[in-house]
Amino acid sequence: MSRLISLYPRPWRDRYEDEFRLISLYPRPWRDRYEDEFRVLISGRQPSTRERLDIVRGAIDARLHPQVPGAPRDADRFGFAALAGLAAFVAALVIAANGPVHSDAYGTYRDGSAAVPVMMVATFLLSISVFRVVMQLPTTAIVGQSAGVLACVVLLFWPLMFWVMPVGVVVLVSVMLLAVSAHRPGIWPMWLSGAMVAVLTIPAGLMAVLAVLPWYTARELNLNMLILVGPMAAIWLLVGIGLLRGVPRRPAP
Amino acid sequence: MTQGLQELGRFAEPSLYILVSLSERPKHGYAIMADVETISGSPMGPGTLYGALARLERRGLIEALEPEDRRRPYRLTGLGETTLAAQLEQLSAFARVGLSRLQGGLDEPADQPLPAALAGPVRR
Repeated sequence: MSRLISLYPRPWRDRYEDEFRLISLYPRPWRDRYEDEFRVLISGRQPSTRERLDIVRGAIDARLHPQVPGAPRDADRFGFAALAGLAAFVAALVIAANGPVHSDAYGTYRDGSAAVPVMMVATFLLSISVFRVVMQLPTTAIVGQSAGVLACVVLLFWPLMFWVMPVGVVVLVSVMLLAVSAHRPGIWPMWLSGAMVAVLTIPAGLMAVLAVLPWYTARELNLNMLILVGPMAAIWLLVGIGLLRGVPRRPAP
Repeated sequence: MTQGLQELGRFAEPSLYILVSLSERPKHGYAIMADVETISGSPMGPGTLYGALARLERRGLIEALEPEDRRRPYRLTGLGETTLAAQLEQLSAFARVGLSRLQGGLDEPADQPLPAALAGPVRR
């Protein structure tokens, strides 16, 4: 649809794209049914402020009182694997947080290496769950598929290089791209993809900053690693929810 | 069986206007909006129009026809015609009662009940 809009001259797009963006507030089943004719309706005139508010009010109503049933969905039981991975991730954090304290020339630190095997289980379960999401994407979602496969591979080795920040950045950014790609064809709702991006932005940003700092400087920051890695539990949780919500069932040919 | 429009809540009145508009002939969204503005004297917003259209279509009072140049016309169904006729009859009876009382008509019984469509509970 956005390709069709780009065929219109720029002044027309400037004038009406704002209204078209409002249509994205409506739920997916409503848009599948009415979007085409609704676009034609509002493109034939310049909506006033009152009409724009009416469109927003209509979108809220369509979400609160849906009149168009959504397509039936097939849940993917691999979502349970992601949730099991979440339990393993939490266990790994607990083990790491209770590891023995060592001292060296730079000070004291807690050795969390005992958590590595549990973390490997957690990331393996996440890796296969992410792969299931990749398989749900349409073949045209090349960016999402590439990011998802990259995340699958890097996740398998992540526990062995957990403190190598660029690796973490690659994982988090790949998962965020995958989440956005899953929203575009309607596999994930806006809130799910949005939550994934919102929760992972801070850890990804922190990791990116730490990645460019000398390691001893980063260490001097004395950053609480729970703040850094805690939000990452959202990856397991949201991927699990996404799989258990399922994908819209394709109509029989 | 006649389905009332009162259960449509704030969409009851716009739905009635839409049914009246479609009673003339099948129309697409823009034509319905223009016609409703003519009938009622006030414009109907796009969000309200499609909120009402979705409700009417879901209840089988109107049906969508094949799109014409990306505009999809709608027409009344048999149930829609029956419902509209019943609603207009009720409004007509209500108007008769009101006018009669305004004119001090002594022949109207004092306990004349309101038409059901104007007295029922409001749901969505």
